[in-house]
Amino acid sequence: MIDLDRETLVKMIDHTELNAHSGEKKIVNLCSEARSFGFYAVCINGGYTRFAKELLAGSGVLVCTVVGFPLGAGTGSAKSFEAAEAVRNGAAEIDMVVNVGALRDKKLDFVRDDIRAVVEASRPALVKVILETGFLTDEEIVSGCRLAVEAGAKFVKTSTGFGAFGAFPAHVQLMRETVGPEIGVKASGGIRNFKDAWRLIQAGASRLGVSASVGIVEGLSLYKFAPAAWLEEEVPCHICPSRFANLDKQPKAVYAYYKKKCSTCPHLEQYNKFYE
Amino acid sequence: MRLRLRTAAIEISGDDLTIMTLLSLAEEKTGRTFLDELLDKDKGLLTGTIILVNGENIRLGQGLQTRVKAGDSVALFSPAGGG
Amino acid sequence: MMTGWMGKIVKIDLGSRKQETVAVSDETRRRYLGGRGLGVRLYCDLCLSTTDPLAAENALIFMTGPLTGTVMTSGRYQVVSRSPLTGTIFDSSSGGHFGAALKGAGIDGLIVQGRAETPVYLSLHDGQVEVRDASAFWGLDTQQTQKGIQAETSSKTAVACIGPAGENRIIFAAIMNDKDRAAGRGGMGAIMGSKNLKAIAAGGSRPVAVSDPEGYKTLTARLERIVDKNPVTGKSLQVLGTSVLVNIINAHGMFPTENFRRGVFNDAEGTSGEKIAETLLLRQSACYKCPIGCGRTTKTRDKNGEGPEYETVWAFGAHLGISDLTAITEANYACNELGLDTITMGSTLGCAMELSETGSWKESLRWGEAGKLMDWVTDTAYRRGIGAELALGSKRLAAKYGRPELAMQVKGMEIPAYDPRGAQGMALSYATSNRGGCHMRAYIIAPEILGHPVFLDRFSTVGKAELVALFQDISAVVDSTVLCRFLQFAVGISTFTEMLRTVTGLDFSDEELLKIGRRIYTLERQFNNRAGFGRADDTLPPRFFNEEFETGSSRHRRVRLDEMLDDYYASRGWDRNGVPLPQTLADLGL
Repeated sequence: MIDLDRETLVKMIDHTELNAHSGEKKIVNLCSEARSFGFYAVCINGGYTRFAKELLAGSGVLVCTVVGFPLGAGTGSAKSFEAAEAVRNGAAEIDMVVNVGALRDKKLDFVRDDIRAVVEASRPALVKVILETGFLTDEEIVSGCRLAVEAGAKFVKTSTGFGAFGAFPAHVQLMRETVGPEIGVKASGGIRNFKDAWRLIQAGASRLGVSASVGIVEGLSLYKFAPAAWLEEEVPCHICPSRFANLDKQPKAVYAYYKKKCSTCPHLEQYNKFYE
Repeated sequence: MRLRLRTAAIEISGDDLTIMTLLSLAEEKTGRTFLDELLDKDKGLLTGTIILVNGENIRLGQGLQTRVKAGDSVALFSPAGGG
Repeated sequence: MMTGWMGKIVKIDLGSRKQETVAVSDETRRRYLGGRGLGVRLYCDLCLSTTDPLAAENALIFMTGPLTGTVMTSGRYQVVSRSPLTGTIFDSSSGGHFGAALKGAGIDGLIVQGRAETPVYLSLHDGQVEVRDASAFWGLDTQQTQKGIQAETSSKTAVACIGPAGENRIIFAAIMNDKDRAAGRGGMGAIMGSKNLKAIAAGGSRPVAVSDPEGYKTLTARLERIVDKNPVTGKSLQVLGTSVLVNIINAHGMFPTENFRRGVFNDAEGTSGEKIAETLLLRQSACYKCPIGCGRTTKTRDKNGEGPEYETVWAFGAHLGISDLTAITEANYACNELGLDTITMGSTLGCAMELSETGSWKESLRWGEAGKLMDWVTDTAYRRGIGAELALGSKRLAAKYGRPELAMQVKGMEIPAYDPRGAQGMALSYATSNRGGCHMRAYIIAPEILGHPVFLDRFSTVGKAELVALFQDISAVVDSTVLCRFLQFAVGISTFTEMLRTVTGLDFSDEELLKIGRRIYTLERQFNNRAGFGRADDTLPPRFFNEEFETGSSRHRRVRLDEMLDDYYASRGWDRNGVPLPQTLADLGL
């Protein structure tokens, strides 16, 4: 049974439009939908912050701007500047990308300082740290979460949506277990319908970064009033990151990490083999 | 898709391929892109895309990782509706 | 000032010519919306479950909804009455422009009772209903009728009329509007015929007032974008029309062939949407304010017209073992002109062919006899020769010749182009439809085959009960706003609440809207219970329980209705006989 009501669901949604090629019309559309449906925030690139803020005047919908996006490989000072400017332009939340390379190099202080600089520069806006799970092992995800919390971020977030992986329940669960109940966990990337969203919410997500927001909200009624048909158990492999590992998109070490996980998976006997 | 590809059927030589591989080979063979009719930008199945292997929908199997062997018949339908 | 609704429903008795305005309270509007819901409510207040559908006192109701004439796809209207084919309460939906024209004439709905002494038509304009002589048109086909009425009113007049089939009270006669759009199923045309009512003409340009013009404009722009981007509404329905389904359903091994004896038709390709596009299609056509444009304007060598749609391609095609697309198409044109439901017509022919083959009926109708199709259809409309028998419909025909099990019908109406052995949800959907064998009450094909909005296992019965009930309720809502069901491929229930808010100013929650749907469905069920329908009628012909396909991907399957029916009743709050429990009725205010 689904005990989620529509009001709660819409307030979990950052209605997102981050494509490089999105013109003004797309942002106008985004804000108009957010206003109509009452989403929590719109999530956009810095260039549109002021524009969106004006469009959303009086609606109660917040503006969330991405920083150091999508690579996270710039300097801390560049990210801080971006963040401060976005806040001046009206952003209430900042989604920054962690320095993924440094995280993988285990330069913990560096990573923490990078995040802290953005947290400081963003006040009073709150900061979410995007880990980009598609480039990381579970250990690195845990490490990234800890550093984000230590640095004063209020949320950890799975993906940019432009990397190798979107949001997987397994990662969301891991992140939730690491940060505890007080810090937010935002799932983003590849969430296409309510079924996807519900799985992530059950895994511990408290915010969703989605562009298919309207469809997800509409899906709620269908699931709520006829759950048995929709919520048949999913084959574990269909929602497991290991199956989606992709040598073209991921560092070799990360790819190998997932393929190894696959080969030692307890579900292996039952569900066929996906590893090569 | 048929209108784009100007054909209703193609034959691919192979054995023990995943559907995903088969689709890529099919695109190569026809020399025309058509996967956008079936897949989204993350190479996941679009809502409504129907791919049948010997009459069975791959969503009940391993999705795009479903394996096909020589002699199998694969039907591709882009999202459709009606009444 | 009322927004959305025009606020005027006219009741007229064709015998006495007396007219009155029917008052509908705000509360009733809020509880039933319009279209099907309000039509059913009014019908139940006016008539009994024993009322003879073809008797003078039967009421025939034409109803629009609060959204008619406003948002996209809002040209539709509903016809509500008791069906002479099934004996259940019945509503038939039709597209085109007529619904918007009714609103333009200042009217939400029209209730017709009584019988005129001589043929008449009703002319609606400026909130007024005028009775006019239709003797000059009696006997004409629907196209000629429309032309004739337009000639004496205005070329812009929208006309809904019957053809010879309705005049001859064929129990599956259709009401045709805007030339080729059909309120096809259930014999609504026969009811018009029984009242000597040849046509209804509506003209006028009263605008529909909208509560939030700004919000309405923004919403419209957004809907256009969504519908355009969606691959079903923005592409496949536009390019291939509904017959895009032929190859899909055939590939799933559930394309009913030769009276549902097989699930794969060898010549499916030859009657597919792709084939129509290649050989017959002139251009797509669209209804009032519709960006989808699923209609097919087509031309054979000698004739032209609209269609055929998927159901017709099946009913005159695979169902009869016919693969001659031209013959199918021309039979379709004939049904449009004569005013006859293609599904019941085709299905009855298939039943007749099996009766003939098994020797139960001395007539000789053979599978694949495309050349005779036109004659059979025409003879049925005029009750001539073999047509007098075919006009009985499959249920009565099969019963007459001692083989009732060969009629592929539920509650008297023939089931359409999806074999339920290929989709368990559809089995339940057909069995529990309030108007008999109908695929649209709960179009579970969408998730079970098309994967929309999500994909379900068609051979599983898990959770299908709740789902069928939910789809039935949602469909009742859409039929009461009166918009096109195809919109649902692109948007969900939340968008309907938004549309209602911007147009009527009323704020419905999703739950409230679904409750309205449930109320309507339950009210219909109540009527049917009183008319004698119960659990025993919530079933399917024996073929689906006892016979299996040998080939195709739905082979070796039977329907497992017993796994779903009790759950269905339970989820609806009905008892084991399918009768709504007192608490359920109280909750819904019935």
